[in-house]
Amino acid sequence: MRTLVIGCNHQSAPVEMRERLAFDDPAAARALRRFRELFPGTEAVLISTCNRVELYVACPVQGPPGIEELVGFIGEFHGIESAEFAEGLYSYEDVEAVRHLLRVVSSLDSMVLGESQILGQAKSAFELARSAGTVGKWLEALFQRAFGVAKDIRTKTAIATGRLSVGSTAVDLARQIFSRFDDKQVLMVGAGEMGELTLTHLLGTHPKRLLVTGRTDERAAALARRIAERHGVAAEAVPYAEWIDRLAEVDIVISSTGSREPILTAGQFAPIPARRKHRPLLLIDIAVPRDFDPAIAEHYSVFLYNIDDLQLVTELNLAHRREAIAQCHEIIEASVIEFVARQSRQDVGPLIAALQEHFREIGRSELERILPKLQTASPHDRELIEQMLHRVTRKLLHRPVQLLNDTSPNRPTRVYAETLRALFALEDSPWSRTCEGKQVQ
Amino acid sequence: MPGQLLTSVAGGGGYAIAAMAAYLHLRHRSRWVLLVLRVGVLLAIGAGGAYLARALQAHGAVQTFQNSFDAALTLATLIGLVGVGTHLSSSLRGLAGLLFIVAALVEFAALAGLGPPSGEITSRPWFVSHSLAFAVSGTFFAAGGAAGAAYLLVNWMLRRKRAFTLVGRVPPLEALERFGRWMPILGFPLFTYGILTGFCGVAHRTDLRASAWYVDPVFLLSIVAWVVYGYLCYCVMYRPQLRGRWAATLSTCGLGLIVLAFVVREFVSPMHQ
Repeated sequence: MRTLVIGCNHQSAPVEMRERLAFDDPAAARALRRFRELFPGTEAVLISTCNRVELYVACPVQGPPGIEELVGFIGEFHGIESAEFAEGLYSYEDVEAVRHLLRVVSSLDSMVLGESQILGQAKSAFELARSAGTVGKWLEALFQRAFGVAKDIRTKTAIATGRLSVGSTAVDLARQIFSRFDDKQVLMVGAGEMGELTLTHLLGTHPKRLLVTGRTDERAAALARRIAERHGVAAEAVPYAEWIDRLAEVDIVISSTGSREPILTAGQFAPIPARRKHRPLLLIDIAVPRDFDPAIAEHYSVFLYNIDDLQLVTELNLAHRREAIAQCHEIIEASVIEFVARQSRQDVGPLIAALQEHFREIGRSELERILPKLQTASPHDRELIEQMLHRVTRKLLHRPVQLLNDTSPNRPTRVYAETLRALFALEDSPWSRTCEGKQVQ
Repeated sequence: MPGQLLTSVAGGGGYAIAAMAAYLHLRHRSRWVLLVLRVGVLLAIGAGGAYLARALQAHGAVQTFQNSFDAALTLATLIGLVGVGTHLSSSLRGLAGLLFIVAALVEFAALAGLGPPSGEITSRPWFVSHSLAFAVSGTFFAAGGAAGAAYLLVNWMLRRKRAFTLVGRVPPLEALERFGRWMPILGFPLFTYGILTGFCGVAHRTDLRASAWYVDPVFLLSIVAWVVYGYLCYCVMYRPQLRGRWAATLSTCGLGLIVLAFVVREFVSPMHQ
């Protein structure tokens, strides 16, 4: 069997093309059924996400489909001329295809390095293909291995550590300061888009109370209504004149106003810590220009982060993830070699047995034909003839068997295997038989 | 003697391995590191617990807890158990490494007290409470001190905006502060009791010169530590402005004094050896 992959991703094709080539679940199921009709005996898995569309195929070495047929299949399914999208496609075969899948599910090929969604999406795509009957032993083994490698990479390397968005980083910082949120109050100042995004992440911690304020009371009330509508959380509007006083109660403040001057100076803040009994206060200042005077952070109970601080954290996290790429590649390479060697062994084992049996059978039939004619031959002579035939068979097969047993990733073992099957009309392939069996089901 | 040596080496080694594994676990979440941590702790606590059980059976509580080695082993085992507790707690998980370091130090320092129990003061069974009070209060102070040190580290990390890779892997400040607040409050009365029983014990000692006790370095260090912890308890209860970083610093200093007093007790103090 050989493995092929054809597809496009955020790097190879613009979003307009990816949209046209995308498959939702029902479309993917239909496509896989159609694929099965067109290419019986071939396995297929179709992964379609917002950033990539990829068709993984396992087929006999000599048989269809080839890359062009796969391009034609995708084009025909979507009703698009192949020439319109072929330029944005990439394709890989055999070892390269295995390596590509491992990179994809480990999110090394993702737009956001180390993100976890792709693994779940690949698993769903695999299940869909299973239920469509286009997964045989070959792709089953390949995808299960890929999922295992992805899990290994996530646990053994730093590829998934840290957050990459400002909002989730702010929540991480809040979790590092506070151990519980059901007794915490959050105040949102201003209605900036980034501030609301951060609030969305923070609402996941289920704070006790949410207060909002804007530079006019109407804006504050509108913001409270909008948050209630969008997030289903009751928010209390605080008059702008009172918000500094309310700092004595709240624990987390997110600020994203459009003010040209700081809305909270060190002087205004000075009496607040004592009124708070010096409880920790987390200030997240996402506004540019900044809303909070940096001198406020000098008080030991205040943790003040501005947009640059949060972006620095996300950049550091990204750098850590990038540092882990080399380690991920090592794991992937080792897995590719191990997988290809194992599959080759499994693929050629029955072939070698069939080949040896084929030669032995020829020897046996020749013996049966010739021995009755050798009337004068003694039992010892007959035994010598049998031994000679056995030695000849063994010597003839020595080199082919040696080549078949060489499972190094760069050896054309499968080509040899298919050639031998074709030359000697051997029917041993467990993979093709399995896939046919699945289709019958 | 060989049993004590073996226990101390196994316990100290186990805690040291567990402390290293705890540190590695902070940086790289791994099943194997976690396994090593748990095996190390089990080895240490198992060795200490088994030795103490045998000593209690052979010599009784009075002689066992007055023996220098056994008392140190009791302290190390208690600290190790608190370490296990913090390791199992979801909000204090990263604290265990610091406690295992303290437990390892105590186990190794216990080597200075190798030897059979002294029969000299066994005629006063109540005196066993002196050792036990110090062991239990020492455990509370060690836990509080470790929480204080961790608080300072996390606080530094958050303020300097450094080492953010550890965010989410070390305990939150609030949990550390809460834990660090209660430990001295629980340990202080016992520590006071230990000092008072120490006075009474000295009064019954006929082998010491009447003026000897107040120049004993352990006594002096204990008094300094008592003042520090007394002030810490006062701050924690009545001075909210001195909570947080200040309390953590004081708690860490207190732990330093306790460790110093322990080392002096094992190696220097003529009255306590």
